[in-house]
Amino acid sequence: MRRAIFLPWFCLLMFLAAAAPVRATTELNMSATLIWGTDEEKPNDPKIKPVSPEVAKRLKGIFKWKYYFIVKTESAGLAEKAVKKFVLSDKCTVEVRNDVKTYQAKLFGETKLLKTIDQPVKVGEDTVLAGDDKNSTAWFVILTPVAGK
Amino acid sequence: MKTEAILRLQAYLDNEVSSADARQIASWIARDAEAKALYEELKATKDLLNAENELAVTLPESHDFYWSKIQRAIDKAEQEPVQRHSPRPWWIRLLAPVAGAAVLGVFVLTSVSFNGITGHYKEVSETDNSITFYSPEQKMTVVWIPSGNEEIVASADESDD
Repeated sequence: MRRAIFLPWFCLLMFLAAAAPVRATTELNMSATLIWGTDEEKPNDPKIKPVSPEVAKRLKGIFKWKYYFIVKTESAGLAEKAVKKFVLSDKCTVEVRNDVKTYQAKLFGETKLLKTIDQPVKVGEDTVLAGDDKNSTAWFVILTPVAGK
Repeated sequence: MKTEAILRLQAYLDNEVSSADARQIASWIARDAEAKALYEELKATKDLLNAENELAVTLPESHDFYWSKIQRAIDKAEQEPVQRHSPRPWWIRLLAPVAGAAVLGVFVLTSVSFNGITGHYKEVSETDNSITFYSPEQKMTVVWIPSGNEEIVASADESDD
């Protein structure tokens, strides 16, 4: 009898507890990084730094280039349906829109739209927009959904 | 002695010549010692091999029946359908080509290498020719945009300022 009285309250509490994180994760924390890939160990520009060994290992696991350097990285939190422009270079901009369970990314080269993608939000899963560049080098824009605090 | 002469002697011995030839050959044998010696040798051989000196063999069945039995066996063998012996069950023979094609397809799709990228192929965009890969090992989805966008990094250091 006593158990029958508490059971609906217990279920309600469990539902609220489960729903709370869902509401909290509607915000998207996104990191965008522009990386340059080359076979030359030292780049001409001394300001750009090598990527972390972990990132280098992941990139080398897919791409052929030996060395990877961070050109610029930016992070931002996006509310539901918010749009954020990540300006990674004069000619490279990524526009990210938070669609809650997915995000849309638009890559612009100069002002020209090069590519639009829609990706599911999965922490630990990166999306790489990439292409070949001059002198057998390549550029990479890595979009990394970051776990919310 | 010529072969023709030897054959004439043999024919004479077998009574296969005309009476005129027989007289002529008999005269030749009487005159020629070599012909006489060969004739006697052939005659001795023939006497040795005549019917009295051969073992009598009795066939268990008639000549015609014996050969007709062989003919029937040949006809029967030709009418029987050819059996293809296969040690594998039918379902393995059916699935083997399909499985082979599937393995080949998976190999091709998972080993695509394009411009330095290796990964799990997903799709090629028809609008911009971009190629999408997914690498489960690196947990990365890669969208490779073909060349023509070389200026993306070029002024990166300027934007850092």
